[in-house]
Amino acid sequence: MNDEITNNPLADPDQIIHAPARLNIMTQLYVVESADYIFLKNLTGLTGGNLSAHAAKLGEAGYLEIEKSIVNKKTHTVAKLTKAGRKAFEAYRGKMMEVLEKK
Amino acid sequence: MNTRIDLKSSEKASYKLATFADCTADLMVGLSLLLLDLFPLTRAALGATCNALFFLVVLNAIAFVFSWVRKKLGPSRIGVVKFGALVKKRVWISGLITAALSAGMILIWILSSRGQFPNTSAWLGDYSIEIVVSVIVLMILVGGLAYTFGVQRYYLFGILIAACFPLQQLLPVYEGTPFLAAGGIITLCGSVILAGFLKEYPPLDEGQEGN
Repeated sequence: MNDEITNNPLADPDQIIHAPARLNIMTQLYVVESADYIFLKNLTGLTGGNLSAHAAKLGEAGYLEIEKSIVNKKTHTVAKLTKAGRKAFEAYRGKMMEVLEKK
Repeated sequence: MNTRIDLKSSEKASYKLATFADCTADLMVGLSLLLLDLFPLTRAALGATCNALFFLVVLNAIAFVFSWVRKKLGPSRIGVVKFGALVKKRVWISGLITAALSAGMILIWILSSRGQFPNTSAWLGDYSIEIVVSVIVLMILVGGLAYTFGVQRYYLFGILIAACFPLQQLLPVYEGTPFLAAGGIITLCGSVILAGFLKEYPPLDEGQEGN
């Protein structure tokens, strides 16, 4: 019984990525090199506050590199997946596909 | 909120938003076709070579103006994105294919004007080879763009642009009329979509929420 739980890929998903909003951010950033917050807001449908909060959490986990700069007296934030972030996303995706494609 | 882990769709959506949402490309193509409507008139006035040079300069100027407009519109409304090496490579290959097909099409037009294809009527009927090649090339290029990025309106644009050449031969009207009609329809579509884009994507600061 314990072995079954241990072997179940759903038993221990990466909780940082598992949240829908963060999974959305990770997915959008995985297919590009980098994107600013305005582009991410448009693609994910998240509000500015939500995006900042979830991106900060991903940043704390070392999955996201966030660069802030001032452009025309306004803050401009660009987000980019780190190598660790890409690896973690690939691992998470692999786990989920393993679960969903099992017959 | 879209939470599907579908990387192809995400990549396509990113590229579509960054490249086609503002529809400046539509307006650029539409206005270029409207201008091409004048081609027979200016050719009569300027001669073939000067006319070709004139159009080369003017069409490039239109492309420059629209790329400037895109740079002004895009960053504050849809944001800025950098694509990875794989996407850049695909765009580069697509550009090469487009350039090769366009060069082939132009070459056939030149060779045909010099009488290099005299015996095509047996299998092309009343149509000259350059017309048939142009229709096929334009349908492949514009249709390929529509299919690759899921921009449905480009199927219509492809048909409109490709149809200009046979219609020029078929209709007993001024030669530029099909270009005027196609350019008018594409410019109108582009203007309507641009109005929708400006409404849907207001200029945003990072802290502001969109509509």
